[in-house]
Formats: sequence, structure tokens, C-alpha cells
Amino acid sequence: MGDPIQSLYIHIPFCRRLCPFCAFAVRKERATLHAQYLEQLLLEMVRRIEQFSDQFRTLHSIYIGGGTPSCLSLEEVRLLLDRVKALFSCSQKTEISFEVNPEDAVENYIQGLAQLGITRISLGIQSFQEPVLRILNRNHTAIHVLEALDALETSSIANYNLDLMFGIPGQSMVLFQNDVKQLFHYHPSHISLYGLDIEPNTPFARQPKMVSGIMQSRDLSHAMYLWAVNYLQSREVSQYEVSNFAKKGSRSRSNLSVWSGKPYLGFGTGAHSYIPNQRWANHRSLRQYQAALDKPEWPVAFLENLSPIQQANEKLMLGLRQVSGFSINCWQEKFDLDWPAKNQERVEQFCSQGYMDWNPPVVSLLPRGMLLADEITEQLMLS
Amino acid sequence: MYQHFYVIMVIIGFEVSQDRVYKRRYKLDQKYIRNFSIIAHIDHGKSTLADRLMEFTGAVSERESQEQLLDSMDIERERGITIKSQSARLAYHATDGHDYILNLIDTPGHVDFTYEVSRSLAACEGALLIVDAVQGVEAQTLANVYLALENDLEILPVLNKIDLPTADPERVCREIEDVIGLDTSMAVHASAKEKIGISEILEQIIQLVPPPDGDPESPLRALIFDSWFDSYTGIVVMVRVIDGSVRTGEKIRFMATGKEYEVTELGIFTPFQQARKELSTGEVGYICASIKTIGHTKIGDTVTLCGNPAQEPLPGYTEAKSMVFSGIYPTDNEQYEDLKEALHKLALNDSSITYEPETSAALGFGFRCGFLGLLHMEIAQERLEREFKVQLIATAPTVIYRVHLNDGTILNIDNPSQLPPPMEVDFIQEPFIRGKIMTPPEFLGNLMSLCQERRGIQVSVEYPAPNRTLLTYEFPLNEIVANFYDRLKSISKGYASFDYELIDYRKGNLVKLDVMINGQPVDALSLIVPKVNSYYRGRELVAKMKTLIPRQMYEIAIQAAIGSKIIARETLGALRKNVTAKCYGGDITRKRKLLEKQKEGKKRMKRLGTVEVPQEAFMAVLKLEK
Repeated sequence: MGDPIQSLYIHIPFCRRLCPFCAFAVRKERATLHAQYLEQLLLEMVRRIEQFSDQFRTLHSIYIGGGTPSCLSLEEVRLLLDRVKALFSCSQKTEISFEVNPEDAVENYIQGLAQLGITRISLGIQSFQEPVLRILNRNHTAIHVLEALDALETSSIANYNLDLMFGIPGQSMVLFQNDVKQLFHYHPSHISLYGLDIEPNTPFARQPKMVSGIMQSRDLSHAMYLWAVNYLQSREVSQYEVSNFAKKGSRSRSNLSVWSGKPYLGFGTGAHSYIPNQRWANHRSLRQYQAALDKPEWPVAFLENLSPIQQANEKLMLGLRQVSGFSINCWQEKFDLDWPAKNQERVEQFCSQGYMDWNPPVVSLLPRGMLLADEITEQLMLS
Repeated sequence: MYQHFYVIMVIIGFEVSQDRVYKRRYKLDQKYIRNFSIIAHIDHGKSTLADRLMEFTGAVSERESQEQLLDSMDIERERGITIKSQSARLAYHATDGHDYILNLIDTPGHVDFTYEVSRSLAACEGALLIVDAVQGVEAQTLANVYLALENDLEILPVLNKIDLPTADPERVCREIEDVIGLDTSMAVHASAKEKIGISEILEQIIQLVPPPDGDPESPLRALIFDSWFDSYTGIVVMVRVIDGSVRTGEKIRFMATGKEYEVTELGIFTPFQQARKELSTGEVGYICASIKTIGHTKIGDTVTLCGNPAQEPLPGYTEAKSMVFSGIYPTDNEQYEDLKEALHKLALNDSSITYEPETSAALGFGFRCGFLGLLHMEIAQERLEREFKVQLIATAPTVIYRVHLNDGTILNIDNPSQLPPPMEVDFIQEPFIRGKIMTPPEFLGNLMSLCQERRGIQVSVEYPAPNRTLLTYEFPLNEIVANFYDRLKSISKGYASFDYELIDYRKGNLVKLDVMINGQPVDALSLIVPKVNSYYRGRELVAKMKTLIPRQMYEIAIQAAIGSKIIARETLGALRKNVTAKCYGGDITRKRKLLEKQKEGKKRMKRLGTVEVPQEAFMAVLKLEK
């Protein structure tokens, strides 16, 4: 048996407004659904504990994401955390992250979360600029953002993440730079920077104007990204993944365990789980998820057993997305697969073009290369 | 000892005499045989009618009759055309009270296969001329009728699709009379789809098509009109016995190739294969003789017996000549052997495909393949990819140029990159064709400008019937090869039809146009073009290529050059961003699958230096909207 399970993801699917760029499993908020959903989460956890009883160790991290977890009242969060702590072994050191929307991040709520044992908060501010927030059709305003940040700063939670977006049609370089600089009026330990992409089957993908706007701002968003990587580094918030930046010691443990191929269990609608060689995903629809648990069946919509080649490719893909890079020896060591000579030629070519660094046995992408991570991964993948 | 001998001789004698009795008693009387084919324009309903004839005579039940039984290859079905001909023997009890054998000889239905059609027709005494009662006479109908007339066939006009509300049999009859000059007073009004007129057609075949008139006592002469490879029996040869007869076990000789084989099996198709002991004068059937090389069984050749050979072969045999050439390369160089094997197998079935090894600096090892025409080429490429699972890069099709050098030597060039430098060349000749276009008059203007763009020389414009115009032009074949047919169809909304024949070689003012990618000439992209519009072609070509090559990690320059002179340039900007922002637990599978798909797509591209060039870019010249 490989690594023990020390990481959980809990999905809270409710949202007050469905964002036009989002492809996650979400549904319109209705407070009356909460109690039943929390019961079902509990049921799913109990059954997974029976299944994997001997494979759990004290948890490193719990990530409560969504959707909008901050739709839950403090009482509901308490209920959830009490049950999780009763079922799984946690310690003082367990990182418990919670996603909060700016409109919910009032002082009371943040204080409450801290008291309930939340150790890390992720705040999806996206931008400080009202016009940009309107284009994204967010439920919060620029005022909400400032109030939320004040609440966070005064709380006891020092470990918090802020999300920013770039490459939004109409967003100029100066506006974006102001957004990034303004982050440092506060003290985030972690920053996520997301380039706006057209996700298939989202409302944005059906708006030709938005699609062409995003395509047109590609060169600009390229420049924004390179500027931001550099700037954040100068403020000692260093990049550790394509879209993730952190102060020393503040990298997200949940992220790291997913990217390093450690097992984790996901609960709730659309949640994914991974144990070595196997990944599954729950039903995205709340109704189907609940119906399966009632029967009782596993609420699983999709399950795959990964072949050695698929695992090797995922290892490469995830490795290249991280600044720490990918060790070419791991294919041989873990999957008995050779690193083809052709790949080494390409690595040398990428290095000469300034996309990549080669410190045997590790290849890692430089910022320009991070922007082409998909292209480069695809060229090095096995088929 | 002697006794033994005696017994054996008696047995043999008995066998022989029994056999004679059998022959006398059961031998098919020639006068009850009718051999015919169906000629028609694409979509005028040839295959459906063939199905109906088979159903009506009980050769197949309706249940067995899948849509269009005779077109058995997938590609044929999808494209709705017949490529390989197949035939069927039908038993028919006529109203005169006699039982007849009707041999339906199917013909391939496209301009590229004129020679094959002419040989199938030579195996018949009559032909049904199917004309769509809505659309009327088309260029291809004409071309095939002329072939039938050359072969002295009795032609029976049939107006098909008579059930359609827009059918206008009177107008179409007039057209047949005016354009072709056939009497239509007896023309059957039919609808193959609605099973109207089928028995009338069969009766006319009996009454009007003459029985075969060969001599059963003469040495064997059998005409090959089709052949294909079967993995169990080797090559299967379809023949029409003109004189004499042939039996299993006899030694046969193919007169053009001189090859000799022993017949292992012969028989007929009903359309299901049925072995027989003998094929005699007037009959149509197949012969298997453990033949492994399709080149030994050329269409149009005469089969005779080694023991009692005919003096003269049947007339009309010519070597089918490739008209269109294209380089075919494996996308992945490691598939070279697979491609070679696939070409070998394909050529087993299709003797009109030629292939020779060729090397390209850009594409590596591959083959220069010759085809009868553009459609033939497309079908062959599709079969290579589909049936033999080889991924290909095909270069733009070209014709054979006759290059006269200053020192008097003549080179036949089927690959533009082989053209010698201009100072060595005295002049170049290119093949010309005579093309006939049949169109409703409203498209005349646009079709004439298309012909002019394609360097066409007008020979005549005729108005053979109201609402029908027949354009005759002479063209350089190369202009036809480059997408002419598709353009003709789109300009005329599908109404115009086209047919052509090779006429001669003519002197042309031609230059070689080279394409360079990132400064490196790509030999596989070279073209021979007329000097007058070479600049225009060059600009169009690089502009088109820019849209066909996906952005890559560096800037790509695409240039066109004549000699050392760059005449056009396009720059494809570098790909700067290709990364998914989010890749958390729930995204990994989706993202991996996306990349796998992307990688699969790239396999269909060829790497030239560092540039990935998709298959379509090599055919860019065919996609120009001229």
C-alpha cells in the first residue's frame, strides 16, 4: 500500500449567482437545502471510512470549496466541522481551508470561522475594479472587496489567499497592475492569479463577443502574466504553480498533495477523489447525488483506472505546472517507462528558446514556458 | 496387367462420353443469353435499378437486397458511386415462354474510369441507358453512350424517376433524340425506386438485345473486364467468353502479358459466387487460377487456352495509363513499411494504381503514385487510411510534363521538384484534354469564366436542346486536376456535368514555384505553374497555407519563390499562450484527456524541421478559391 489518505475535499455546491465563466458543479442557492445536503455529506463520509478504514492517518489538510461555502451559516459550518473532526483524525496542525465570497466576508462571519477552527481562508475577490467585476457578472462589488479585506486583516486568520483574474476584455495593463499592487496594501500569504479562459459549455463560451474579446486580449494577458510573476517575486510571494503564488511556508497543502499524486477523498456533488491508479468523480447534479446515496449506492458518475502511461502523463503534466518541475527519472522508477531520446531533444530545444530549465534530472518551466505549459506537456507526453 | 489397363481405359472412355452427353443436353444455348450493362450519370439511379432487376428475377430476395447491392465497398456507398464493377447472372422466364440467362455487367461510374467502362461495355451486346426524367442528359451520359456506340451495342433508353412530380419525360425524350440521336419511341418509363417498368425493361432486353454471336468451336477467347484480389483464391478475373469455352483444370494464357496459369476454379455470380465446371461461348463469369500478381490480369486482355490458343487477341486492349501523380508519405516515418505493404495490397485490387519508391528531403521515404484521375486518387488515399490504417501525407496532384532539354533529351517529369534548372530546359510540354460540360444555360457565364481561369480554349458552344448547353473546351490537364470538378459543381449548384479525354501534349510557358517554410525549401510543396499567373498563385498559396498551419512556439515564415526570387511571404505569429489556468483535483482527468486529444491530432501532422504541418497544408493548392 502506498501513501495513506491525509487530504479531504468537501464541495459546497450552492451559489447565489452562477458565474458565466465557471465550469464547476454549482447550483442556485436555497438555504432550505443545506441541512439535507450536510446529512448526505456525512453519509458519504461514513461509507468511505468503512471502505478505507485502515488507510487514514491524521489529516494534513481539509479544503472546503465550492460553489460558495460561505453560503453556509456559522451554525451549519460548526455542524460540518464537528462531524468531520469526529470521523477523521485531525490535529492542531491540520490545515482547514474555507472559500469565502467577498459579500459574505463580514467581520462576524470571519471571526466565527476562526473560532470554529478554520485555519485558512480563500477569498475570491477577482478584481478591485468595479467595471471588471461587472463584466465578470460577480455577485460582489468593489466595496464588498474592501470590507472583506478589512475583516480578514482584523481577524486572527493570517493565512489567507486572494484570487485575482486577468486577461479580461476591457482590462488594461495599468488596471491590472493596480489590482496586483493593491493586494499589498493587505497581507495575503497566498495569491492565485487566473487568466480568463473560455471553458466549454459556460455562458461565456456562447457569447461570440466575449470569445473574440478574450482571444484579442491574448497578447496583453501574456504580458500581464509575465509582469505579475516578476512583481510578486519582488514582493516575496513566489510562484509555485502556473496560477499559484505564496509566501515562504504558505503554499496550500491541499494543492500540493493533489499535484504530487498523494491520495485524497472528495465529498459532495462533482467532487473528485484519487487513490493510486484510480480516480472517480461524484454526480454533478444534486438530485442524482442524493438519489444515489439514498439507495444506497456510491454517488459516482465516473471512475477511471489509470494505465501506467496515463499516470506517467499526469505526473508530467502536474510536474511541469509546478516551479519545482518534473524529474525525468520518475517515469522509469514509478512506471518502468523510458524517457524517450526525442523528448530530451525537445527539452534542449525548449531550453534554448528560454521556456525551460534543465537541472538533471529535473526539467522545470520558466515563466514564459508556464504560459505554454499545455503545449509543452503535449509535446513530451507519451501516447 | 493388361486387364487393368483395359478397365481404366473403359472408365475414362465412359467419363468422356457421359460428359459429351451432358454438354449436348444441358449446354446453354447461346440464343437464350443476353449480356447487357447499365449506363447512367451519377445519381440517375443505376444501382437502384440493378437491385430491382435482381429482385424481380429472384436473384436476391428483397430482404437480401441491401440498399444498392452491387456497390459493396464502404467508400462506394458513401460517395454513391461505383468504383469496382461487379456483375450478376439473372435467370428470367420471359413472356415468350423461354428461360433466359441475363448477365448484368456493372460499370464503374466516373470520368476517371473511362477505359474500364469501355471494356465492360465490350463484354456486352446491349446497354440500358438510364436518364433521369427530371434532370435529362448529362455530360457523363453522353460520354458513356459514345463508348457504347463505339462498341456497337444496342442501346435501350430508360427514363427513370418517372414518379417524381417534376419528371418531364417528353422533354427528356426530346433531349435524348436531339443530343444523342437515339430513337425514344420504345423508351421505358420507369421508376426503380417505385418498381415501375421493371418487367418492361426485362422484356426489351430479351427482344432487342442480340444474343452473343461467338463461335463455340473456335479456340477460347475471353475478355477480361474486371479483376480483384481475394485472400483465399488469389486474383479473381471476370471474363466474358467471346469464342470457345474454358473448364476447370485447363491451362490458360493471358495474351497481352503472356502469363500462363491452370484454372483452379471458375463460375458465376448470381450475385453470390457459384462454382461451375465450364464457361462457354457468350457466358459471363469468373476464373481463379492461383494468380498472385494483378499485373498479369490486365483489364481488356484476352484469355485463351495454352493447348489450343487463339491466333489473334480481341481488339481494344490498351494499357491503362496513370494521368495524375501524387507523392504519398507516411506521417510517421516508422510507418514506411506499413505503407509499402498497404500500397501492395491496394494495387492487388486495382491494377491502375502505380507506385514507385521516392524520397523527399522534407517528407523522407515514400512513394510516387500514379492514378487514373483525381477521384481515383482520393479514393485510393482514403482506402489506404481507412482500410490499412496508415496515416498519410499526400502531396498536391500533378500530371506528367514532357521536359525538352537543350541537349535534345526528353524527360517525363511526374514530380515538380525534379524539374531541372531553367537554363537546362529548352521547353516544357504539358498534357491537354478535351472537356465537355453539359449545363443549364443560366450557369454559362460563370462556367465560361471558370474555364478561362483554367486556361481553357473554347472549341464550341452548342445548344442541343432547350435548357441544355454543351460547352467543349480544351484544357491543360493540370488545371483540371487542381480542384476543377468541385468548382464546376459549386458554380453550377451541382447541375453541370463534366467529362474529358486526353488529346495531346502542348508546349506551355511554365515555371516551378517553390514554397519555403522558415527559409527551408519544402520539395514536397513545389508546383509547376504557368508563368503568367505564377505571382498570383504564389500569393494565394502562402496565404492559404498560413490559415492551415496552426500557430506554433515560434514565428513561422511561409514564402513562395520562383528560382531564387521570393514572390510572396506570410508570417505566422508564435503561439504565446496555451495553458489552462486551473488544474485542481477535479480538472486533472479532463485536462489529461484534452492533451491526449491534442496529441492525437498532431500525429496527423508532419514535422518539417521544427514546424508541424498538417496534412491539409500539402494540398493547399487544391483549396484555393480561384
